[in-house]
Amino acid sequence: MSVTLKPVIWYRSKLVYDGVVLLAMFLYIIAYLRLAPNLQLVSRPIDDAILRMRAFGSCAFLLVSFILAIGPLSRLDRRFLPLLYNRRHFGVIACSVACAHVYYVYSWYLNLSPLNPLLALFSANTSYGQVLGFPFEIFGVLALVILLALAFTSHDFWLSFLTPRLWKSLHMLIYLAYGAIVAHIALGSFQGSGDPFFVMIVCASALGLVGVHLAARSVSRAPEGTAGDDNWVDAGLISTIADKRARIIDLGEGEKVAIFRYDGKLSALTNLCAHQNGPLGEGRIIDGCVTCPWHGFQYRPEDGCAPAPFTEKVATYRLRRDLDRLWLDRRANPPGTRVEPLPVNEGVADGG
Amino acid sequence: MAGDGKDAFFIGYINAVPQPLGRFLAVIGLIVVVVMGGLGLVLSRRTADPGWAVTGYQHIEVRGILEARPYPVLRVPDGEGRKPRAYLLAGEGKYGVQSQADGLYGRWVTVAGYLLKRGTLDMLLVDDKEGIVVASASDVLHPAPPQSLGRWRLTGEICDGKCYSGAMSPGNGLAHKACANLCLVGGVPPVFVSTGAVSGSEYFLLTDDKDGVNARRFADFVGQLVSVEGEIERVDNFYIFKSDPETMRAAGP
Repeated sequence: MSVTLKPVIWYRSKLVYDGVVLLAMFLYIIAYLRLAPNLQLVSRPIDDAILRMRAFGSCAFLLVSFILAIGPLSRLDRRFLPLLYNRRHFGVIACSVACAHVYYVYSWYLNLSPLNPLLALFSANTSYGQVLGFPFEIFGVLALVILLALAFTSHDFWLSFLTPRLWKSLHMLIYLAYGAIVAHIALGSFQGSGDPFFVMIVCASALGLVGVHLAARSVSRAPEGTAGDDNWVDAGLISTIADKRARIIDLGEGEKVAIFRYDGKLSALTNLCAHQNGPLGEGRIIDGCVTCPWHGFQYRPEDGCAPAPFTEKVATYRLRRDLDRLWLDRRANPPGTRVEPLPVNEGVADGG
Repeated sequence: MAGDGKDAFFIGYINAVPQPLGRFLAVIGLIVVVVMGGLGLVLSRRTADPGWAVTGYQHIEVRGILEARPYPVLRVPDGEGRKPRAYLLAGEGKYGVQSQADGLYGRWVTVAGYLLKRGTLDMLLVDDKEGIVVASASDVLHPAPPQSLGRWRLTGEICDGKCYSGAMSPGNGLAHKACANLCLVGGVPPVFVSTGAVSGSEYFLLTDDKDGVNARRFADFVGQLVSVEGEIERVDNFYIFKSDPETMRAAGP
């Protein structure tokens, strides 16, 4: 959390995170470009530029695949949550690797011709009416434009400027970029070298990603609040909410509420963190504040306000009880509205 | 389960990472690093062989007669203990040498450049500085006329003659298609790489049956397996495939 926008706020965890990602990237590139060529069974060496475009292109694909797996893995196993913390740096590194791939394609395949290289990119191959020989470069261009847009807007300034909802929608384009990358590889590289092992790696990565997303979706489905009188919905038994944790209630149409139990009280907040719409209900009460599991943004449970000097606010909700059963008013209060916490009475069985 | 880090709560701006979680993250980091290094090694190691070729490091000077077939070809007749040879010509970058050859067809010239060689294909990359220079004529040496080898249907790949002959490694396939098309548009001679040999050669200078040089007609088929009919001629050590574009079809893998 920060009161003002700064280029990058470095913590030890971020340095270690970036260091591991960069080390993995460098090892891949060095192995590809420096170690393996001595072991290749070829009649003559592969051109440096072609080897580099292959190395950086395949590396970018693997990095983006891993980035996309972090979200669902965190849902399936909370121990992956720290990988979410600095995912934007990971994305910028992957975008830089993709740019290196484009640089070698641009300077080797598209350069030194009668056409301007940028014009050549779009006009050298216009066989749009066929699968074999389709201008697969166009998918690469689409993916690169998206990656650049996401890298450029990855800073919190853009998050604040665009609002979290719009920023999140924009960054969901990463899935379109991934689809474009897979199409780019399938219509290009697969038809070129045709290495079955690389085909297997790409297919396994893409199918694995679909698999973990489906698995995460099935385990993270929040219970729907049962409609009651007027605007009140049944939010389940109080005794089943663990201390300093929350239960997430799905009100439908994408609206979810996190009901926290802490210090013998109950409070309800929107499940969306004001920072990146992270799932507050998967967070904890730390130092008396609801703490987002993604980046540690904090809010007071009774009014949804970040503690001073921070200024973020989230919507709050009213609660009432009927013995051990909890009822939630589905009408959200404006962000920062104080709602008196509901006490957990002694007569209620404590399941926390 | 206690002690496996699943209950730990990580906050990035607090530097202390709970120990069980720290161990888990260290293992994940190690796996990522090792897997990436291993994949880089294996994927690069499995690179397909681009095939043997002479790749343009040898600078030579050749004297012969310049012919248009229809691309510029330098014919070096037999004599003085050597066999006749024909060299396809291309320029530096993705350019042909038609503009330098104009007005010199049928004349004795000296061409300085870099030799590319693949199978029966010999290509000279004409040196931009030295170019094609008119040379003294020989009264006794004359190139042999082309020899017809009849009509054939061949299956193979259309490539640009420069990249395939050795200027790039590899210089064929669909990943290389845009580059090949740019070469052909720039005037580099197209070649047909057949899956089967005709009279001992798998490599052919590709023209259409009107001896045309309109490479755009082949653009949609470059880099993929196609079959096409046409007449084959032998000119010294290399072969010309005068294909009929109307018979060109995509062939199965």
